[in-house]
Amino acid sequence: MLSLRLVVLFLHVAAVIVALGSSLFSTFALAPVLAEELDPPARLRVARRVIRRLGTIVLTSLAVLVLTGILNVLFVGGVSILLLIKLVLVVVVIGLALYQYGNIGVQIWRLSAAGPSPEIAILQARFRRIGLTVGSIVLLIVYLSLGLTRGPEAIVAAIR
Amino acid sequence: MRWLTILAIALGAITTLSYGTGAHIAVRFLNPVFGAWWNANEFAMVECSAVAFGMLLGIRLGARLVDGLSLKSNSMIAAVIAGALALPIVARLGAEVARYRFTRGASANAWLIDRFGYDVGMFLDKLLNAGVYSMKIAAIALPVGMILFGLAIVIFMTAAPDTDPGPAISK
Repeated sequence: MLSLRLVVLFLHVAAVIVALGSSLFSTFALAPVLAEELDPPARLRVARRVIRRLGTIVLTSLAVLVLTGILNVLFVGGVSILLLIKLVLVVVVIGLALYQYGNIGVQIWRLSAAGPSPEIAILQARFRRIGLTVGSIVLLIVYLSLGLTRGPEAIVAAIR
Repeated sequence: MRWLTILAIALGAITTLSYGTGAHIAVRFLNPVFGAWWNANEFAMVECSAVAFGMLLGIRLGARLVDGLSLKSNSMIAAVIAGALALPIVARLGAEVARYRFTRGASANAWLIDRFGYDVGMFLDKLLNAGVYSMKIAAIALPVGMILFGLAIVIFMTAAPDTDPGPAISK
């Protein structure tokens, strides 16, 4: 019941849930509530701290995803076209997440030190859009992963 | 950073070509002791230089996406140090994964023999295998490099002081 393969798979799935869940929570739950309940200075103060914490959570989850993903490939024991597409999408997701938190997040962080401004609103909108794109690509990766392990052309079936 | 990448590419190209062509025989002819050492270690050097190249490429790609000069340079240095420490583990995992065959297609052996004859075809096949193996390892190391850079960004962002943008007034 408890094997290294299951533990690695559990960590892999948990990392997807954390990365995707935190992005969706921030975009669809936290941002609208902040906009309704707080004045611009307070909203900004909360948002800039959320960006920092969210960046830590999402990028750490992606690190866990990459590490457990490599271990999963070792357990599966083969490379297919689906897996290559997944690898390319993973690189795109990491790139987008780095751009989201390391570029736009840092700009929001820097500009918001002087208080609310129209520039920050534009950056925040872009931040949300990239977050949604990352979420959508992660969902596509999850679908491809199901194809790898459960689909009609599952790599496991091809090997056995 | 640029020089490290060039070094990784040069070392990777030399060791891959040497392994693929069996050039250790020529080195042995010139210097038997060094030739024997080269033959014993060239494959490990193929793997390590491919991983180093992949990780450096990932770190440089990540750095292009980030804003802020000090954050970028500090994170790059930290990621390179972390990458150097992780290199043996990533090389081992990458080499394991890169040894897996594609589940379908991707066999150039018959085509090469058919096109160039048995001797040349087999030689080219070994060279191609070494090149593809090296590229597969680099491709596996690329996301690792990117994510190491991402983790470095996280650490430096978290360590930065939280300056207050102004008084918070809620409704």
